[in-house]
Amino acid sequence: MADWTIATLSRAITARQVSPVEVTRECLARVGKLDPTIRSFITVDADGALSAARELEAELGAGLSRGPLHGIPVAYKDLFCVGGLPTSCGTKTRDYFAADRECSAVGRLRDAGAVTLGKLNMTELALGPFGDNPHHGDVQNPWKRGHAAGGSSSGSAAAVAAGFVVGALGSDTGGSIRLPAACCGVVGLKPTYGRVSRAGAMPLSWSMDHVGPLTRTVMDAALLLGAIAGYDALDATSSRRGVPYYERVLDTPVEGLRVGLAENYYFEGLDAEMAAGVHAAAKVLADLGAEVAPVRVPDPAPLVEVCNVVTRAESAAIHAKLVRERPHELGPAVRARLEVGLHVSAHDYLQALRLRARYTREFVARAFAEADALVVPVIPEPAPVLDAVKAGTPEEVVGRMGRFSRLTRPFNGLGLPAVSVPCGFSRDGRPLAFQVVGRPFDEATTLRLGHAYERAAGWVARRPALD
Amino acid sequence: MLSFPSRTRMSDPDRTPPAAADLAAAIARLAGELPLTEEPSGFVAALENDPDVREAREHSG
Repeated sequence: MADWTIATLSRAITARQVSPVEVTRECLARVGKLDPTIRSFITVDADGALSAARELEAELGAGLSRGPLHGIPVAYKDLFCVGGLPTSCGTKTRDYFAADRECSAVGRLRDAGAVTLGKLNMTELALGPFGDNPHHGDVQNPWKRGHAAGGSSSGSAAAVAAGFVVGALGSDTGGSIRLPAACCGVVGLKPTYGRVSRAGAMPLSWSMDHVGPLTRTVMDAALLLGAIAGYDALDATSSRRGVPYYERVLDTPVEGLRVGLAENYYFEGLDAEMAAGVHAAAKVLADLGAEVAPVRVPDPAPLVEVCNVVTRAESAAIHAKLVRERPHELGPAVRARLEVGLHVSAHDYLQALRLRARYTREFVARAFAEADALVVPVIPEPAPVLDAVKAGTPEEVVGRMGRFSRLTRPFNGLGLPAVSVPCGFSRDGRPLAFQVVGRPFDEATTLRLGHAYERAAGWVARRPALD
Repeated sequence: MLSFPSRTRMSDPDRTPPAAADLAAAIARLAGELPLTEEPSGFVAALENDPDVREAREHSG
């Protein structure tokens, strides 16, 4: 099970080499054996998963297939509303979040034949980049225990890296898909704002939240994105643009694509091994025929300040009741972040939104004038030690959170598609990663570059030693 | 209507966390040159109106 991808498992299921029930049983057994150490799941729905797998197996027996996701085991960050299962959002409260209906993205994957194994651990209220959780346990990095799995979609990344599932959904408000993907050595895609419906996912910041997949390979991310993307009347910000068949363009050669290696901001203060890994990845893309060149992008620092205002204000509005009535149930750093939002004025919030609009137009016009995509690092250092990042006062922890997510947050403010792709390991075995960032709604090009690199580099064959 | 403990009210400047004051100062510094025509919803328009997306064959979402 640990070596499957969605693509290879799908072929095996189609060829009747393995059945959906066998796959589900094997995944559940692996979760039962290894997850007490990793702590990636909050809720395991064994009965529901096996019931769904039996139904899908019967469909195959009748000659019916729902497509490449038929019988594929997946799991969801515990902020997506999934029928019949509680949604804690990483809080102490088992049913903190309830929606009128199932999350749209979850429903689309279910309709496409995916089997839900359960709900995944996450940072409390999705507020934090390290994957620690005082209520459900700190998610352990499958590559190196005691180190951060990254957050806030910590369980999603760790479960994929550990081979418990072949795909998961996460949410990304400031990097919460890409940060854990980078820490855990898996692929994480934040699509363009509006590309994937947010309906039925607990909001943290309405205008910054993105829903996207975490998988072992870029091809798998393309397959999941193709299933969940597209207009949804339940999300007012969902785009009506058509959805490409992403998986069909991945093998198009990258020769001639213009790749900008953003040299300002993104490499400042970067860990030396991480910097070397990202530069080496850019070299691989150049060897594949892409026109890689250093570029200077508009300074993201002001945008990050603007994002902070927007996110703090929106998250405080969303969770005001919890902050007011049960502040003692929140971790100190989470509480501190939310309370700051209560002090953001309407004037500053609106000015921040107006600034964001201007920055987005300027960034797209300038950064993509001479590049089809950008390559930048995802995390400033390989997965840090969990105890170290949790230590200190709430203010110190919040400051540490901001520094760790400084490379991902700009693309939430800009709403641009960004995929985190593994690019090797540090000397002590922690994953390295880079992100490919594209124009609005051009996930196809970002995935194409990531896929080309992944196939050339071959890191995907390496697995964490868990058994 | 929501009501917060007095320690978190905007009307009590002595209690405003330094981080909140920093955010307000940043906006004051950055927003000075905004044109009158810039709207809060301009972000989504900037994404949707980008004309230079090369998409493969599309299917409806």
